[in-house]
Amino acid sequence: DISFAHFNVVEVMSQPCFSHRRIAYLAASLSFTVDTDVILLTVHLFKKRFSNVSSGSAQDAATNVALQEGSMYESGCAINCLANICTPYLAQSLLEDICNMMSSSKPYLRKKSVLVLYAIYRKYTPALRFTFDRLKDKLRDEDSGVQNAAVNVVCELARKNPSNYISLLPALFELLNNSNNNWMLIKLVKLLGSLIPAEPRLGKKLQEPLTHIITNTPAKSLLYECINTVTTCEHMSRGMVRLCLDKLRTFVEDPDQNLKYLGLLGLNKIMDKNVKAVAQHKDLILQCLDDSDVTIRMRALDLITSMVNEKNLEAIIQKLTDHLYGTDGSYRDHVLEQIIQVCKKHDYEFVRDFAWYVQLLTNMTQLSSMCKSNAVLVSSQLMDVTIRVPEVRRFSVQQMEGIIVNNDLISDAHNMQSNAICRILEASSYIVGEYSQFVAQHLILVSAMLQARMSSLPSDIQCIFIHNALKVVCAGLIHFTDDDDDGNTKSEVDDLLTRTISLLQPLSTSSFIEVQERANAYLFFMQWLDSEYRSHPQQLRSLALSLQALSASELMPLHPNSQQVIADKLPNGLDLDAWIFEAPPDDSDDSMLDISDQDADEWFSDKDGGDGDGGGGGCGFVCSLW
Amino acid sequence: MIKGILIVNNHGKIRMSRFYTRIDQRKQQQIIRDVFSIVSKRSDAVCNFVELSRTFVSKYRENLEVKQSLIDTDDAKTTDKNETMIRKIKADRELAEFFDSKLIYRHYATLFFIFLVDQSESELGILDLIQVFVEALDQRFENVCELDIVFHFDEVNHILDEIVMGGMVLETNLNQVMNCVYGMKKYEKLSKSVAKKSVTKLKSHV
Repeated sequence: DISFAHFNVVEVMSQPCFSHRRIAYLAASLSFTVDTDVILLTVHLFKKRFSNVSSGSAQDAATNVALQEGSMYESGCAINCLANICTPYLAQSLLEDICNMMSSSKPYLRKKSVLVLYAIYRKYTPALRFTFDRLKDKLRDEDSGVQNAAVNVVCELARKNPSNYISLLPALFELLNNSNNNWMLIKLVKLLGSLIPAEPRLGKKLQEPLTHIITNTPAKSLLYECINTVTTCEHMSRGMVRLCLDKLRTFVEDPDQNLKYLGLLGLNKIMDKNVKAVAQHKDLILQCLDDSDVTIRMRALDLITSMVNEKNLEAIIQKLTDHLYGTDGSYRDHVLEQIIQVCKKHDYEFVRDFAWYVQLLTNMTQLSSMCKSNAVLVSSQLMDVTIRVPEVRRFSVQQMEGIIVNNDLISDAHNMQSNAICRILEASSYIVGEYSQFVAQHLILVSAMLQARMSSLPSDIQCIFIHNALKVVCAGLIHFTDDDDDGNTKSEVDDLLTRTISLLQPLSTSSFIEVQERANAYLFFMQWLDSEYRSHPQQLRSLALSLQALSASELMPLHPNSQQVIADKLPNGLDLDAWIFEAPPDDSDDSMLDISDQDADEWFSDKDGGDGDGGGGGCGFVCSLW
Repeated sequence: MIKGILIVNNHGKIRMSRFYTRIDQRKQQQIIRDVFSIVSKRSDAVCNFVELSRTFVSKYRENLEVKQSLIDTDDAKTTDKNETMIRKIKADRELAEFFDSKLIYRHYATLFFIFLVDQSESELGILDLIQVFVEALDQRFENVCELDIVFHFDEVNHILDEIVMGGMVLETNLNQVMNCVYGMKKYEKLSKSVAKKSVTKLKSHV
């Protein structure tokens, strides 16, 4: 930051010696910003340079001539500096001088002044209106450098606002057909491509000259640009598509990595419109997936995921998962995301075997250090599939049991990075709880879910675990009391109940409020169940059943618009804005507490007053608690 | 449009940097560091293009969204603290725009020549341009090496100015570029001698 020296820079700019001034121009280009106040002083200096005053009166004519030539460089350098430090004020004041220089006799100056116009337009937009005609003329200038500069400027401008430049089309077409300069042709093709959205007929008109260029040019850069522009046309003829695909295929097969990358890029663009045509080259693209270059692999990945259909889904996913285990970093996260996106496209249109999909998701959870968004994705997929596909629930529950019991996952959750794994645990515990009728090893599962290490997980995960552990316990009790011929029913039930109670006790003193509440509530249930069991063992089953009624109703996902459907049809006489009771007084909180206390007393006194009632009252109590 | 040109050596030391868009000084340093970290990890067998959008934009954009909500909430107060914060956020926004571009680089012996361009430039064309630039340096300095760039950085900048002006490509023909460079050198010498003469003239008057 050399703002202390800005004034000195301007001073040096006014020196008689060119080399000094040059240094000052460089310093200005590197350090002046839009806020520099001394820029105002430079206006006069620039004006002097632009009007071609050759300073000093040299003795001999030869030096004079040389000085005249040199003044071209002078103005050139000054223009360069202007292009780098332009501000709206500078642009406004110097516009006229620049315009004069656009008609100078030296092509060097014309070239530079045309190019600096773009810098001026960026800062001072009305300039465009004044100089548009002159710019148009420069497209027909005799020197190719000047034409190049003009095309450059128009190309940049047309990116922002294509409709203004349609009038330049005839001149541009002339240049397209007559020019030999590769660079200019590239810019022209790009420019014409950006004009197509504004002028649809242009697309058809362009096809012929572009085909001509594509088939004849030796320059790969120009070839690629033409193919690029052709793909932005609205409607490509089949011949055109075939031609482009052939050329792109040669790019991809080329050993040069750059060409491979460009070929894949081009295929990506064609893919949007003609999926089938590109799908022919599937094997070639799969080959690219194995390339050592990450950029190329990303592109190939994008291509592959858009050409998936029912038949090749499993093969492709297989290949992609092999990749997953071999790589790391952002590429792997990307691959993971793509795998899931592909599978869930169009509501699982391509997935035939959901058990395979669940297996795939479970395997993914074994990967270490998954990024957060991916973990959320995996967990939501697990839940989604399990809820909506009844047949796969049993399998899913088994897998989730495996995940929870597998201690590695819970110990991993301690690391900061694997905070994402908590999402997976959330999903797996939900599934296990919701469909607990499929659980095989209740005791082991409950022990794993409530183990001591769990208390270092985030509080919301703990809550979920506790809640679902209860559901599993109920299911377990029902299951155990089901098998009457199984001799050790009593011991199993005993084990389950005592283990659960002993595990819940430390949790009931946890520092997280939600965890403590739940643990206490469930601890209470378990202890009550235990005491009931000791006194009336045969009623255990019905007690457990009614406890399970807590989570009995099945929740299915709703269509997002269903709320709107109901809201639109209000039944008559229902005014949603009217008070239901009278407006509540300020001490409403106390009355709420009273009600809950009453319930609790009733319930306490109802010790052996029948199973259903006790359970039902218990339900009511539970509901009001949260 | 070309947004920036960097010459970095293998150890991450920046030998020349030109930015053609307004970026805060500190952010410039950050950009250079980030770009070098991407480019240095790539072996010589991979392609010379990198799309920045996939790597960094998401990181900077997230940062930006968080800070944007900070300015939006307290619009009324304009304390000093807010001023600096607003400036910081504007700088971050420039940075996020900056990363909406492509990186095209070439590795020559100990130096990386890196061009940051946006969507309107052709990738292979820019590769050619880097080649022209290096050849121009070679002709000017005869077997150019890193030290030449360090000690004659003003000349390097002048040559670059003949090729790229204000972010737009000015000239792609090597001969033309060299003609201009030598012409300017001659003119410089001439004007120096004329200036000296005029100084001596003054003395004689006295």
